[in-house]
Amino acid sequence: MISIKLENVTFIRNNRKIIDNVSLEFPPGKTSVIIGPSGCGKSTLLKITAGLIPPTSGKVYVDGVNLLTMNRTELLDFRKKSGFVFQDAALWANKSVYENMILPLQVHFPGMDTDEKDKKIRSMLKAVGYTDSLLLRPAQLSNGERKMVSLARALVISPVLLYMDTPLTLVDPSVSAKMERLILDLHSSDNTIISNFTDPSLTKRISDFAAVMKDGRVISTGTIAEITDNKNSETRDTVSAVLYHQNSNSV
Amino acid sequence: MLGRLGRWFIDYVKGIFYALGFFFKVIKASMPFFRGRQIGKKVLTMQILFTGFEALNIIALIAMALGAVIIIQGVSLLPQFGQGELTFPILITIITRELGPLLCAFIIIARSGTAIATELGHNVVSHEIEAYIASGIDPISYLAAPRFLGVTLSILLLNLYFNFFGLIGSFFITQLIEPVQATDYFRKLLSYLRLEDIASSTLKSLTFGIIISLSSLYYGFKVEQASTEVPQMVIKAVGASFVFSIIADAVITLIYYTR
Repeated sequence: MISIKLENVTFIRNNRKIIDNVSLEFPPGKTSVIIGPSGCGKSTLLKITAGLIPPTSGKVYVDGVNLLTMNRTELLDFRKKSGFVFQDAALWANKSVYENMILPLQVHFPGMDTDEKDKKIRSMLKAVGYTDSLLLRPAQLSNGERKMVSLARALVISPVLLYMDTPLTLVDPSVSAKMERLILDLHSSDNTIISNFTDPSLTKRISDFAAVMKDGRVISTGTIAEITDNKNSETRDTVSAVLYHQNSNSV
Repeated sequence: MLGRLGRWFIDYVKGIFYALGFFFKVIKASMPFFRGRQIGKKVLTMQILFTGFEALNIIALIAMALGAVIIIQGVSLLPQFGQGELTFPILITIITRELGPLLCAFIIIARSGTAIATELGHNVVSHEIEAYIASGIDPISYLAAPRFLGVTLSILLLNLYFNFFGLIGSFFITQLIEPVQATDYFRKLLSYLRLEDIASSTLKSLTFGIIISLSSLYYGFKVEQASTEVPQMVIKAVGASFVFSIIADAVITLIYYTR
């Protein structure tokens, strides 16, 4: 189980503070969800937490080690244990579905037998519900298929830490149900999941821990019950808008 | 006003250090390729195919045309001043030492420099670079280093190829004007070719290769968020490649003549 901790993280882009002095600890082996209205900085915070974007200031700790000062071996070890599902899938456009899947395996399991890699790729794509040709390029796939392959690519290395940036958006209901089941399976295991689901019902069902964001700040943390019953009106308004759609500003 | 100027200067100096750091990282990441320990070998092969192999036709055409033009002008103009014997030294000077490497560089800027900057820019915008990082793949080692090596190696080989076809082109035109034995022609031509000419030509194409690949990579990665930034960065990559290649050409030529 991996623990992730943010300490005074600030991120400024084009003189605009996107993330404002966030300190946060995600419980290991649990599913944590970042909640907040659109444009509040959820995706950016997720990427900073995963070490994909360096913060302007502050630190990100993975099991007590600063992610930003890790050496190459430590970083590769961290990547081997973690997967990231991107909001827009971010599949490598010049590679086929199969090549998208095999590259992480080649990096992290160079000694793995080709047949074993092949078996792993096919079973993972089947698990997410992808049934089309493995030779297609991302441009030839539908949005839903891209999301499926993106999830499969993140899971193919069997990570124990999974970051998901709105994994179920743009996916049709049948595919969404399949992917949701897979996410629930991951949730019931000891994996650490950090995500920002847009589906309120999934958020309520899956989250062990939630962080509420507004204007780049984390305004509250706790379980769904705790943040829903929070006495702070700003937290209550944000949570009811996002999870209970009681405001037109909701996600 | 003074504050804004100061900020601009600080940003400018920071930019220079950032660029130098980037160049150093690319060169450092290229070293493991010589030890054969990289997953980006396929990227390297594809880059050589695109920059080197696919440019063979246009390089051959331009080289032969240039060789032919030099011979036509040389044969018609130089004897009028009693300098007919200068045709071969001029051919060597232009094809091997001066225009050969520079024309090869211009073709590579137009074909590969623009392609590299565009592709990387789109990779940034579509978050593919972030996906590489998330998968444990260093974009500098996987995307930049093979392109740097591929372009530099290709331009070196294309320069040799340009020389070959430039001199062949001159021979064919000579045959039309005043037929001579191939062995006589090339023996005479090569007698003017010195080791310094080859060294200068090789040094130039090596330098141009480094300049073009690093400029294209640097500006490709400099795209931040919007696809509208891609053409802007491609223009900057082309501009930087041209300017620095011409400056490097002038410096190497100056060293050649003043040594």
